Amino acid sequence: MKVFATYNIKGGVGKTSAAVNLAYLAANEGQRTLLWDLDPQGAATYLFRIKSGVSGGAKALVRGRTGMDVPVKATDYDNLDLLPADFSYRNMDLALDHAKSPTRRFAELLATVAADYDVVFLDCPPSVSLVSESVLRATDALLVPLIPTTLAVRTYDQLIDFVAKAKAPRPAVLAFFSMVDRRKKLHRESMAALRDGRPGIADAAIPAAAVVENMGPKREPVNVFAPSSEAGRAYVALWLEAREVRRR
Amino acid sequence: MLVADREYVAADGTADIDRAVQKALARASGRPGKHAGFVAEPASTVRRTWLDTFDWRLHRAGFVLQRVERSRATPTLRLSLATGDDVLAVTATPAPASARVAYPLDTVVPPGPMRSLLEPVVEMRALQPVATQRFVVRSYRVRNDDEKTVARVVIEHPVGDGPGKANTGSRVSVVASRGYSDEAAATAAIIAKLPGLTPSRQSMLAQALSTTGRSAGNYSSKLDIALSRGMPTEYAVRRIMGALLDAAQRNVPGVVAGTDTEFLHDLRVAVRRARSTLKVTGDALPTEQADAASVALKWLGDLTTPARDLDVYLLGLDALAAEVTAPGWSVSQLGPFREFLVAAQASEQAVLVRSLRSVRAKRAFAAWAAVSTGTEPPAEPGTADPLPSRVETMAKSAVNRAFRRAIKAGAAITADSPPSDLHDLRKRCKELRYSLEIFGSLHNAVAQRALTDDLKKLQDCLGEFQDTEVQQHAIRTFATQMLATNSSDAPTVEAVMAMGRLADRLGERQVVARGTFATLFERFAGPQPRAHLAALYERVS
Repeated sequence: MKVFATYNIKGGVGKTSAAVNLAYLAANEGQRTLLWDLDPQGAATYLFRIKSGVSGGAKALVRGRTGMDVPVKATDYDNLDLLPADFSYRNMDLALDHAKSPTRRFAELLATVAADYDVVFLDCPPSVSLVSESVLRATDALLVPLIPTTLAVRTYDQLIDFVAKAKAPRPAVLAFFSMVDRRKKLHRESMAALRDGRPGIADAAIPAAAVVENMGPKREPVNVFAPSSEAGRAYVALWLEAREVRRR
Repeated sequence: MLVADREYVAADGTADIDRAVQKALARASGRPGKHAGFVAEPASTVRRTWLDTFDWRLHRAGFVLQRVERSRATPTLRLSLATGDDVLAVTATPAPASARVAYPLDTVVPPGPMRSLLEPVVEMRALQPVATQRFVVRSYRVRNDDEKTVARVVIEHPVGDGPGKANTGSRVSVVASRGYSDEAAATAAIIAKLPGLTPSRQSMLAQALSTTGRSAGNYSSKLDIALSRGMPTEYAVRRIMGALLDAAQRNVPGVVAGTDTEFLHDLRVAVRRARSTLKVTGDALPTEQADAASVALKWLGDLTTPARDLDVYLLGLDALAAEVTAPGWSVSQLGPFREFLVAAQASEQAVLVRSLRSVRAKRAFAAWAAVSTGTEPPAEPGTADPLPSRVETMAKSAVNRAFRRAIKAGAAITADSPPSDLHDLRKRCKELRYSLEIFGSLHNAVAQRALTDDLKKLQDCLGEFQDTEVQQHAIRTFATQMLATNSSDAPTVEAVMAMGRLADRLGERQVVARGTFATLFERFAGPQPRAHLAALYERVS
């Protein structure tokens, strides 16, 4: 089982869109895929037309009172299941803090469904917390969306530093540009500046496109309703790069 | 992922089940939450082909393996449990399915979880189609008020597309989306009320098989001959010979086609059991018939030996090579030997096939058939009739005699006895084993199992001793033959040395087997197996 996490310290950068689309693409190529919506806002859960809510909430999941497989729901797509968000995930840090080995806990929980899935995606909330640390230890590849602005360089460097200081095993990091508008000089320059001398940045870049925004009203992955759009093709390219990434 | 919930079968002549389902779903639509509406999916076709080994190993292990071909989609293999529709693994499959072809497991199932589950069950056997059926599929997605699919109603109409493939009745399944079992149950309740539908009590495989007149598990290499204690001897012997002839004849096509090595194994076992039956019961049959059958069976047995021996070498080669631990050893050094064995096996297989198709083989099977038929089922004897000999008396005497002979042969073996003495004991043990098997239905099952277990341990040891002895000589013979070939095909020194290492390893195993013999025989000659022997005819359980 290979675990991916879409993660960034900042919010609104395209984590959920990436998680939803890449999970769909993994499942579509026949891999048994689980998406765990860890964000209490439940955007990924909503996009798959599933109602948020996990019996017992974050505490029951973390303590193992609710088995990881129990709240899982099928999406409308073959091979793709979702572990829904729950509003109590906002207190996931507290739940983890009470666990025996908080930073190992997610890895332990995911091991209980390892026989059922080939690929797991964790759609993470935007924060630096115990949740992030536990995610890092459970994850093989961290997928980091970056909006190409001047601050992106700083964000990326902070994140690399955060991963480097985390307890082993540490994930591989694959950053990718998100919400890219190639007409903007600033975006082009920021992308060039960030790529300069920094490995681990995907060639694929997700454009700022109406089809990505349309995932909301349509409640479907881009590759279901607009597979040949620029964004659809970009997600495919990103998945082809991401699936080859190996844990460090 | 979807979880199967309930299945229904439409009674013959049920009018337009699709329309009935659509109407029922439409009537139920508009319920907030559970059943807000439904969407019909485009009709499609699917061909399902069920695969199993000739001796139904998957069926016996509780597995169902199905090749699913949908229009415009890559064919997949679906492995599920026979007890339900729980899918254990799904994988794309590279091999095309043909109703007449059998496939080695590794050509059908790619490496992965499914192969890992199947390998220990299937072993050396090939997978072959046991039933096939094409269906027209209509399905309806039932959605909640978020327009999320909570269940699917799938109707599969069998399509008759060839002789013997009559329609078997449409199946309607309600398939729950994972996490939506309540919603699916509500849908199932709607479907269950439709006239003409009844809950399915037969699996799709059983339903497809029923159209071909076959049933799952209709072949096993284990003997199961129903005898009763009072059966007249001749009738019982003919019944045994008939069952063995049937087993042999069912395996001949697989031997001729070279489907897998077990067909030849099972054919040989049937022949050996039949020879043993004649030996212990020959007096029960007319002498001329028994003698002719005996000659025919010896010919059939000898015929199959060379090809089977080569099968055994090839089947065990990798395991034997893995036991060699010499420095610098690599399995690749055995390449030329393996090629030699493969070529020799192909050559012997061709000889065997020619012989099995010959007039002599037809005559041999006819001689076997002559001792398998010809006696009517026994009638109740009249008071004036002499009492016929009963099979129980003969069986008891045959088993006891075989046991005594095995004990006598074993007791004569000392540390200095030549390998041929152990080989003779092995033959005595086989006679005992076959006697136990052919008369098995007359025996107390517990005692039979216990005595067989005792005997099997001794047989395994003797088999290991004899096989390693024969194989060491065979390797020497093969090496001589390989070295005698023309210079371009002659093996390298490395290849011959690799064969020598195999022979050395076989020698080590032979020493171990010889070392354990005395203890195993002592146990077999001890009080417990004798007690089990005495209990054989106590009570049939």
